[in-house]
Amino acid sequence: MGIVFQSFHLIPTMSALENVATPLELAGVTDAFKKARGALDTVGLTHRQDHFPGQLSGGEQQRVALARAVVAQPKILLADEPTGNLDGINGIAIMDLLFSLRDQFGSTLILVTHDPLLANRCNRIIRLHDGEIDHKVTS
Amino acid sequence: MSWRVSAKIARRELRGGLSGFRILIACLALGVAAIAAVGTVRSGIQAGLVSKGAELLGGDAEAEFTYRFANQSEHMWMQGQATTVSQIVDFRSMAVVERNGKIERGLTQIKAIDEFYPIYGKPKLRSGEEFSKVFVQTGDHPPALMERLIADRLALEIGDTFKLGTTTFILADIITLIPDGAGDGFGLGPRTLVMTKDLEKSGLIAPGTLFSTKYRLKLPPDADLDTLAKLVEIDLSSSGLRWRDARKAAPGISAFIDRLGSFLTLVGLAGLAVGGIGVSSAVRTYLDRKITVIATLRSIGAGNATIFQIYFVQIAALSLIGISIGLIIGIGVPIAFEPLFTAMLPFPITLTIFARPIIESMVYGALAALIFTIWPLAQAENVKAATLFRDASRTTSTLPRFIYVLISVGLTALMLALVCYFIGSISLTLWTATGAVGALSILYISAIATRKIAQRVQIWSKGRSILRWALSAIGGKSEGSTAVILSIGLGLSVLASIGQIDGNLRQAIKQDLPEIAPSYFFIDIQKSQMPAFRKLLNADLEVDSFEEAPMLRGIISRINDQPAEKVAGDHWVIQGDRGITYASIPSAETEITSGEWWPQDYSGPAQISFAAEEGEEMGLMLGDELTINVLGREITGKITSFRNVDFSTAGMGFILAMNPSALAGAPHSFIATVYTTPENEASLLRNLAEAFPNITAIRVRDAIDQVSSVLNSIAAATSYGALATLLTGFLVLIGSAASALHARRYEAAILKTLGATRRSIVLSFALRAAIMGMAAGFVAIGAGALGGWAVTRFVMNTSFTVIWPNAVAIIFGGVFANVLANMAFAVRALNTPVTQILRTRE
Repeated sequence: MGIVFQSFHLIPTMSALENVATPLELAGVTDAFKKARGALDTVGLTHRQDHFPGQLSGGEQQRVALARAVVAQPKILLADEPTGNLDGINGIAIMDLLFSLRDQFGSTLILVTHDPLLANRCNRIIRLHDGEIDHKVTS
Repeated sequence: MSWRVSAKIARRELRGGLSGFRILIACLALGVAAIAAVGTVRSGIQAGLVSKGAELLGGDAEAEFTYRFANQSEHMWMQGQATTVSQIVDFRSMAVVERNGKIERGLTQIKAIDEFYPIYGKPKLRSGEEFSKVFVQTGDHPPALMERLIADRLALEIGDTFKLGTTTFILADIITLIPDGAGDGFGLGPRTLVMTKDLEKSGLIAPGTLFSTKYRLKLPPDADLDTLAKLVEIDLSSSGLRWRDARKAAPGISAFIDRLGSFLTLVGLAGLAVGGIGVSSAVRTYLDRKITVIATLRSIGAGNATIFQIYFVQIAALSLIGISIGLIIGIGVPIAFEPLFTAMLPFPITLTIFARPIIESMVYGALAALIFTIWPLAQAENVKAATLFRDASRTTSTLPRFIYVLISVGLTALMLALVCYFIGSISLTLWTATGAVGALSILYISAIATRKIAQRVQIWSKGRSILRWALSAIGGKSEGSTAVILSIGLGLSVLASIGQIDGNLRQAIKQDLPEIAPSYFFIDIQKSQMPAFRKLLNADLEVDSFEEAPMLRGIISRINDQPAEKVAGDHWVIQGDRGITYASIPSAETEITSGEWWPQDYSGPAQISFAAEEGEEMGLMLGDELTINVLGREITGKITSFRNVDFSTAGMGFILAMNPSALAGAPHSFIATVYTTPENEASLLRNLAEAFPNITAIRVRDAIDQVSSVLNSIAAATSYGALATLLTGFLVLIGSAASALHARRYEAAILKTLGATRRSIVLSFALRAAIMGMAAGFVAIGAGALGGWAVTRFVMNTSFTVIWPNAVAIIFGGVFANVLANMAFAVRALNTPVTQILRTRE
């Protein structure tokens, strides 16, 4: 499972490339860095691969987080308010990227959001109200 | 999951720099440095003693006889083994100077030598003259050499004359270095060197005089010291001699250095324990700061073992830096200061890099780091990935897995076992460990109590906002009052214990003794002189009282026909020779605890009355047989009574008393203790010394001063050790103040927005530091008094009273240190702009 957080949660002492490669290293994948470079390329950040999170903008950080979430080709992608900390334009770009990555890797995307427009792009919507599923509006 | 990947991730993590770890590194470095320094100096002294063994001993081997010279067959035996045999006669005497009708006396240790002295080493004289040329008699009087101290005391210049007994000597030079001086052991009075042949007419070496003879042997190069020692046991076992060889030239110094070294190592370990608290809290603070990163690592697939490994590698690397810095300081500083040590110490020291102190301090440092970090490291496992989803719990303070608890216990046991091994004393280690654990437990309970009390009394501080803020901070969890009280409290407890022990010891020596101690000990009074001696004392109205006793010296060689060491182990009574007295009836003060004193006119087989406490320690019973070697003759007697002997009054105390007929015929002298007023001491000495030039007076106050000066140097060495502990404690305080900086900034910002003045905020910060310092100080006094009581009562056998000035100083020290450490950071917290803090706060 790959997770994308609202506040990115990149490891500040690692470069963009290292952040993406770490899950592969932890999984014992041998060519972790090669694959990580590929994932960064997919999100369009090859030129920023040696930068640290503090040197990246919010949108760039979230793109690195996306690359990290999909690099191991997870069956499930969990995204918790992925655009919550981004401005409108960056938010739309990230969402487009997220959906295209989902299609590219064939993962199931579970998206948590307050944005109805964003929710409508999904196949199925489950609405939660005070921690419980609101069956009336779930489609 | 491999360690390689964990190490890689750990390395990336460490790019964040060492901030937050300076205290961890400093705490470990300081603890390791203290232990390494003690070990290096100890090894240096031992190496010095070994390399200069023959010089210190004055020969390859030495046979020492008490009270007598070697007889002809013993002489022949020694001549048979050695290429050269040199004879030394050692005793105390009074050097007397007559100047303008006034007489001055000084106690001196006489070293009477022969033409072969010294076999090894080179004595140095102030004039730079060759030693061998000095003892050629040119004038009317034979030549003598003196140490500067005794020559100065008697205002003697080179060429002046003085008397020893009835012989006049001329001071030929001042001796500045006696190569075998340190090997002579503890002597009362500075030394005078003369030729033995010149003493023949002095009347000083009469039968029964307290002297010893030492025969120094120069052996052929192929001689085997082990074989020779065994041969001595076979050929000369009944002669009562004491055999030493160059491998252990100064066993007294060696044992003393070992003991002092062990004690200082324990003080160093206490420092490491204090530092351990700092290490532990530094790791905890660091991991708390890393909760998000740990949770992130979890979210991308890191398991329990990986998380542990990643942070273990980081802490291990940092600990290694700390330990290495400690080793460099601990070994480098003593080596750099070698000239100072050589000048200060009365025995040789060879400082270089020794393996043992390196291994010892490294092992201690590494184990301390492990013991104090494994718990917080294991707690890092409790961080869940869910922490990253908004409101999830961020706490790590739950118990680690059972396996880590088990590892912690195992590591602590390993540490204790190693300390036992290195120190060489199980009981000392266990007592110290019990003390440390006890102190930590008391401190922990006190910390909780302080927090609870602070919570309770808050309601009474209404209207006093400064006090209320302070109390609520102490009562709350965020302030870390437990860590502060533990670290400062343990450091202060060590200091308080040392203060109490030192104070009590000084008190025992300086204050208690003189009130009951005699003014003088007189030794070497011949039996024929006793009636006149008594008459003179009885005629002196200022003399309160005096005691006298015949005295011989002997060595307990066998107990119930078994070698004494087999029965009594290494008890001090069987180490070397002891004074023996005889009496037909017990003195009025004698208190028989069991058995019966012999009848007044008893003349049967020898009977012994033994000191009760020492007898019990040695496992002796009524009816046991002791064989005592007196002047080369073996006397076997039966213990028929035990009696109380009190050594604490500095009066007369004999472990062994025998019936008179048992010792009949053995040449001996008398000793006497005289009690008089301090004003009368000088004139009494003058009168007695004029009447009996051969007797030696030892002023008790001088002897006490000499013991005090030895104690002073021990106390000084201990203070350095304690200072390292205190410094570590202070570092821990700074560390805890630094880790609280973030919370303080926020608190100060909120209080400022609510209208608090800078003054009131600073006062509140100072107040909470003072309260916590005081709480730690009070506990330290309790722990210190308990430790001090245990040591003075059970180890030193003296009474204990709390030394209040030391205790009060400890409380003030605690308050001062904590306030100082906190104020530096309080100012920084106050100087940060409010808007900056409140905007960046999540």
